[in-house]
Amino acid sequence: MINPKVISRIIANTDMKTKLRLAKVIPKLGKADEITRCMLCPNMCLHLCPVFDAERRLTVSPSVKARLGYFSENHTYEAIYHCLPCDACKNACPMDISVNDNLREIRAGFDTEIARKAVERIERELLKNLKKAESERRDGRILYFPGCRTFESGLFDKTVEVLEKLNLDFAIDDFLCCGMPYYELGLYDRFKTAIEEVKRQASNYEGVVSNCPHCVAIMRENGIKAAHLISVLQPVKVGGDFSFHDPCILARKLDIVEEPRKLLGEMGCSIHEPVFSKRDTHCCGYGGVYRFIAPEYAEKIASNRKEHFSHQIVTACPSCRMALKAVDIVELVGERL
Amino acid sequence: MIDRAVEELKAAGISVSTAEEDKIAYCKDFNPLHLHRLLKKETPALPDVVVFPKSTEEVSAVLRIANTYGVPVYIFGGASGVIDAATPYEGGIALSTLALNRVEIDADNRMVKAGAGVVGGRLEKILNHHGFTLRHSPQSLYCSTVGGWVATAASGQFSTGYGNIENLLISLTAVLPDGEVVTEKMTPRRAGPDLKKLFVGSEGLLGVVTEVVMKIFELPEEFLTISVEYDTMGEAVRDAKALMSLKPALIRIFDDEESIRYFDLEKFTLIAVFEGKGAGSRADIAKKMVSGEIAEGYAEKWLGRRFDVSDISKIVPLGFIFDTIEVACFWGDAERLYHEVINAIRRVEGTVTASAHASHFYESGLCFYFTFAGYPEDVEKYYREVWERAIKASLKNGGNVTHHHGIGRLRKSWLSAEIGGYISILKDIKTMFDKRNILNRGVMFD
Ligand SMILES: Cc1cc2nc3c(=O)[nH]c(=O)nc-3n(C[C@H](O)[C@H](O)[C@H](O)COP(=O)(O)OP(=O)(O)OC[C@H]3O[C@@H](n4cnc5c(N)ncnc54)[C@H](O)[C@@H]3O)c2cc1C
Ligand code: SF4
Ligand code: SF4
Repeated sequence: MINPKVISRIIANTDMKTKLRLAKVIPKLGKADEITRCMLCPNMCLHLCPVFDAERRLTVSPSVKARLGYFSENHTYEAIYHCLPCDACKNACPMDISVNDNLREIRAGFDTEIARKAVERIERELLKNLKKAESERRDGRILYFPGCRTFESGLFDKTVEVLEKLNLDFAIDDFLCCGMPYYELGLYDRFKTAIEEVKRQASNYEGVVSNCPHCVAIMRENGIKAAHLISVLQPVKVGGDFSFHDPCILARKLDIVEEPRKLLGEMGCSIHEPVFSKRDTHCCGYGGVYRFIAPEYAEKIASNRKEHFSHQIVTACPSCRMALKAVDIVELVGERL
Repeated sequence: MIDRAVEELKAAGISVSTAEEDKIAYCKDFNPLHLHRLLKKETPALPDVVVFPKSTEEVSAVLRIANTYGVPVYIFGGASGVIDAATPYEGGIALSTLALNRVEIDADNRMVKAGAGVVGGRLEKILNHHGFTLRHSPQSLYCSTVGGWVATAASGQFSTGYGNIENLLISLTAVLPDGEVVTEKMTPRRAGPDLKKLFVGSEGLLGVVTEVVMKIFELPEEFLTISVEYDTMGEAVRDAKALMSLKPALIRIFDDEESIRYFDLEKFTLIAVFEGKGAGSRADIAKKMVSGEIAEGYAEKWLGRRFDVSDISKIVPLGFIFDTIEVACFWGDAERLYHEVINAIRRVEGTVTASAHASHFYESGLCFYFTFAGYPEDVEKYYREVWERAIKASLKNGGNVTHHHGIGRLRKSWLSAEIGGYISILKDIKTMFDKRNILNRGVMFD
């Protein structure tokens, strides 16, 4: 909406020819698509982008990635994949633009070697988890959906133990992938197949809990009643000095910021906030599929993030836990339960 | 030539890219005319290669190799410069400083050593976490680099209280075009020649700044603001002059058009920030001193929006062209200069808005920051005409050519009006430092 006072000043100060031309264009004001608007921005979230911070080239900076997206016609660029679903950009953007959301749409328009290779690597990793889940199958009211990274980070057994001690009536079903990697790579058909299977599975239960904020976010976005595990944890006496690393998706998409701090407080822990915390957190580098595309830079982001802490890091995400060599809040609870 | 230079760069272990995506990323700065090229999926220029040196030594190696082959080098920080400076019109090497990103805080001595490629917003955030601030806060803080600040003689929103980049600078390291590294003994102050200042505002003509040591300040405990309304620019300027005796950290005067944009108010608005010990009493005195009407909350409103430049993204896709023109003048010329420049811009057919705020204040005068937006049929012709008329009006009414954005290519026709006889000295220095004219060729003069 343009302020009427501005309009009357424009009418008073502008020559007639321009006024007539303006009349046609004013209704379109601010309606350009997000990629275009972001490309025209001077990179006002550059200082927050973890991928840029690790790679140190403008090519992977938010606004330039938008430029490369805009320029993608017959082919696309590798930098389009150098993005985390962290939304540090969106969190600061006055136009509420998520660069990654927009780049995902560009990725979806191209069949690339980068995506194919990433899928190969990810699927190899996924297969490893199948057997482990099968051996733990059980029935219950709430589906415990570990997500692939819970296995990878060795949190699966620990979480099962905690859920048992908490007397939660939980089930473990066939191992499924929430489809996030396909989604992030813009492989929407494969994503649809994956999430439909998850939906079918989830429909047999009252709800779903997961360690992984990304699984929870994806499930919720697709109509599944899912909650992060933090909502079922109970405080136990632990004590000591800790810093909480807010997983990007937990803080920014699931809006879970105060809960872990409250829980840690009730566990007698002193919490020391790092630089970049709460909704202004900083990605650990292991978000989305970036780790399967640019592993060395994902590690760089992780080491950059670790430098922000001077106390033991606690987090609530299997990926962040692995990246930062942190303790997951489930483990902390499990140790004393 | 370029192929052999690239081979040598690679052999020297320097990160080099000829990928199309990197070339597109390093094709321009933020001069508004470039945005219209992007909309047409065109690049204003393309380097042949982009290099990402990680240390002063690597920068030195790049320049030595470029010098050997006479390959042009364009220096890139955050590419937020607005004067069409680093655009690689002759191809060659785009040298990205972004991998020079070490930060060392010396809390004891209240200073920070930062690599030239450190991005301002991140540095400020880290300093804040340690209880410090740079108090150098250009609107481009989030997207510009420490080296870029020095090279453009940048000025931040708190310059009135803390000074511009040249006042915040303690020391720097630079690499000359032939690869020689220059630095000096660090000290809080020294008599004798202060040649590091050659690099302040040099726009990359004389060397690559690789490391900068700057003052830092404790985050102020007290932070108070005042907001005042006026009927005319003249009254506001007179009050600003008087307020300087109270050592404000920041003053801004928004004209009636900008007051509508920020505060929905068709008046001239002065805001001031007082901080540090005794700020409360200075703010109280200020309120009693001013002749305008005291208001509430404008300063906070502006502080909350001071980094929001989203209007650019809203108007440019429709074919609007905009830019900002910042000029300095003495107090005595301020009111006349303001009106004359605004009128000059408004007289160009196609102008939709012309407005200004006064943004940086000194004992002797101030800086006016004009913003224009036009919707002309011929964008480039209109743009050049506005610049011509505005700078002419500034010079005629006691103003200068640039307060902090710099000369670049955009304003080079006015360089002699700005620095007079020093232009020949500048050219001599350039020739002495850069015999083969490899660095930022075409910037400031041909
Ligand atoms: C929205 C917006 C707001 C702005 N607000 C302000 C403001 O408030 N105050 C202000 O002063 N400016 C402002 N600017 C202009 C710009 O941000 C500054 O000129 C800034 O200092 C440029 O820094 P950079 O790192 O982006 O440099 P670049 O744009 O990359 O380069 C600018 C010039 O410096 C040279 N250069 C860069 N790094 C080095 C180096 N290490 N050694 C030698 N030469 C180098 C380049 O070759 C070029 O000539 C603004 C720009 C935008 C887009
Ligand atoms: S996400 Fe927003 S702030 Fe970041 S570059 Fe894009 S438009 Fe600018
Ligand atoms: S989503 Fe994250 S990684 Fe991607 S551009 Fe935004 S801040 Fe950078």
